[in-house]
Formats: sequence, C-alpha cells, structure tokens
Amino acid sequence: MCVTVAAQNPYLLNAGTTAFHTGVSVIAPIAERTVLPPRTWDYMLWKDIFVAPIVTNTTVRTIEFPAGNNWVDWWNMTIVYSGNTTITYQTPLEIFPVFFRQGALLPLQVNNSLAGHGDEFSAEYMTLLAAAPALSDRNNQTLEPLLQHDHHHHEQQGAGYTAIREFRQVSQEVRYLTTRNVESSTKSFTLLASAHPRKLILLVRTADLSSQGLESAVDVAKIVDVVDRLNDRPLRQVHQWGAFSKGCGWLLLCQSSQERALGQAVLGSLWRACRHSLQGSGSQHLVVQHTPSGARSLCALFESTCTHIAWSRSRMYQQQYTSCGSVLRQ
Amino acid sequence: MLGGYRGSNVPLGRTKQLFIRWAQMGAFVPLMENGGNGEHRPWMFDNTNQTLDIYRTFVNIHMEMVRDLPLITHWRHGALSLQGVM
Repeated sequence: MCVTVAAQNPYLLNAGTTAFHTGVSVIAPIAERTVLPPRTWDYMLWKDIFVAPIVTNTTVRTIEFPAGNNWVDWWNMTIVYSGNTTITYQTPLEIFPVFFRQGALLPLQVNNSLAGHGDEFSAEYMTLLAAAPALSDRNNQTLEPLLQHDHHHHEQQGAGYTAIREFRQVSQEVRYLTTRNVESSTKSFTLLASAHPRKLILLVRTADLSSQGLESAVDVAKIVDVVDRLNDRPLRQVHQWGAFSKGCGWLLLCQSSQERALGQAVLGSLWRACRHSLQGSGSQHLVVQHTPSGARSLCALFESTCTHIAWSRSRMYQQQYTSCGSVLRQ
Repeated sequence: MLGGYRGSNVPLGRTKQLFIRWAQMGAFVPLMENGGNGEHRPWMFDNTNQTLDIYRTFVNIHMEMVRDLPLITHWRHGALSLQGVM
C-alpha cells in the first residue's frame, strides 16, 4: 500500500485547496443523483473518510460500505470492514458512524487529547494518522522518489503521488509503504517525507495486523516501561526538547493500544525515544522490546537512516528518512 | 447549522438526540457552525454533561481536520464558486 498526501495542512484544508483548483466537490454523496429523496444519505468527505449520518432517532444503523476499499472504524481503529459489505452498527449517542479508507494517511492538527489522537504536545507537529496499514502484495517494492510541486497540482492514482499546491507555503509529500519479505519473513514499514519546516508525527494505530502476517501485539504499557529505562527520565517532558527541527524532522510513533488514555500517556515518552532514534546522520537504532506474559515475546526494531539530498528550488535540504519497523519473533 | 435555523414545537426547539446527531455530522463536513433560532447551547440540553461532552469531542475532531479558519473561508468561497462544497 502506497499512500501519499500533502501533509502540510490538515485533512479538510488539503481537500479544500484541491477542490479550489480542480472544482471537484469536497463532499461526494454515495447515492445516485436524483430528484427524489436518495436511497442513502451516506457520503464521502473527500477521498478518505466515509460518513454514514444518523438521520433518525436510533442507536443502531445498517451501513453499506462502498466497494473497492476496506474501511477502518474511526472509533476503534483496529476494526476493518471489507468494502461492498453491509453491517449492523451500534451507535450510542457518543458514537457516530465514520470510517476511513484503509491505507489512508490522515493529516490532523492535534492540539489536545479530547479526540484521542495525541495531546497538547502534538500542537507543534503535524500528526499523520495511519491506521491499519495494508501490506503490499509485491515483494521488494520501493517508494519512488518524492517530487516537489510548489505551484502545481498534480495527482496520479495508484503508485503515484499527490502534491497539493499550498496557498502560502510549500507542500510536503509523505508516503508510506508496508511490505512483506517472504524470504526473511519480515515486514517493513517505509516512510518517505519531503523536507518541510513543520515537524511531523506519524501515528500508526493498529492492533490487528496479525491477520495480515504482522505481529503487532506490542503492549503500550510495556513500551512505556522500556522507554523509561532507555531514557532514564520522567515522562512527558517533551516541551523541554526544543531545537529538534533544523528545517526538517519527523517522528515515528507506533501505537497499538486500543485504549486511548493509555496511548496518550505514552505519547510523550515515545516522542522522546523516537527523536533519539531519528536525529543525526547515519544509522541509529531504537529497540522497543517487551516480553508479554505468554509463550511468545516480540521485539520491535526501528532502524533509521537518513540521506541528505539537495533540493535546489527552495534551497532547502530534502532529507529522506527510511524507517523500517520489523517485528521479529524471538 | 447545527440544530437548524428554526426549532420545532418541542422544548428548546430541538431534541437532545437531534442536536447531538446534527453536531456529529457537522464535525464531518467542511463547515461546522452552531446557530439559529432558539436554544443551541450544548450545555442546556440535559442535566448531566453528556451532550456537552459529546459536543466537545466532535468539535475537537473537526478542528483537528480543519484548523486554519481564514484559509477555510477562502477555499470554501472558491469551491462554492466553482461547483459547491455540498
């Protein structure tokens, strides 16, 4: 699965800028055009979010998913529904049926913990939410080099790229690719992001990769413990970690817990750990290891390398980090 | 416009359920706006904080997806002139 977004602006702002230049609508109804009341009020909010609004006083809804994609539950990102299926969905007042395309990369501006995507430390970052990333079918698939488009909108489906013109600032392209190497039975998560002054959080949320062959039962609580020992510092001191970005930088977060409160508590410490792993040149390693009770123990290994590529147009440097996360069975 | 411009013949002009569902959908459209005739303050719909808590969560979800309000009005205007946001 290869996904590209222009990640400078949050989801709807990306959508709006593209809509402005292309004339396509941000909202696309699922139902056919008709003068009669449509058969469904479901709609797509831009390309990645499927909304099935509640239009009667009910707490249960039948939802028919669009074909062609799998859909991740907004409220429990470990649940993936297949396209072209119909389910009965429980919607108490706190829950609204919203799903996003599996493989999508949602750019969010997170300022607090209320929506469950970070906390106040997220405010200075752009959060990219990747949930239930699908594995690529092809072996040894690589990401194409990123292209920068300052003043043009260009879009190419499939393995291509999306660059969205920004009003005032250069765009940023981000892609990720999850692949499986059959020979070594390892899985990798590759992230490419073009240079941008805005720091980036990649929030990978999944606890259900095992069905695709990935071992992902990494316990967030155990990561807290490990990170604490790695850094030997108290949690949630991220605000003291200034001077992180020299024009470019990102953080790789892997969060597998279904419990948001726990996940939020660990964000700060994970940021610090990931920053350690990604700063500087050359290869460094961050090993997040835990030994859950039971027969198996898992070791998640994130290794990062970075390459500096001159980017003449803006006289900035394009840094390319390739982060590979392999979950190995010990 | 969350809750509708004009209320119906129920206390507060709209029911708590309608107001919540409307706000939830409002979070997942480009423009989320609360206003209109009658009671629209989310803390007025029940004695518990259920409506308020739900409302707050969805406002934050909306704001995570769309933050830069001057730019939003800019592009929304542009999109409307081309084909329409909805």
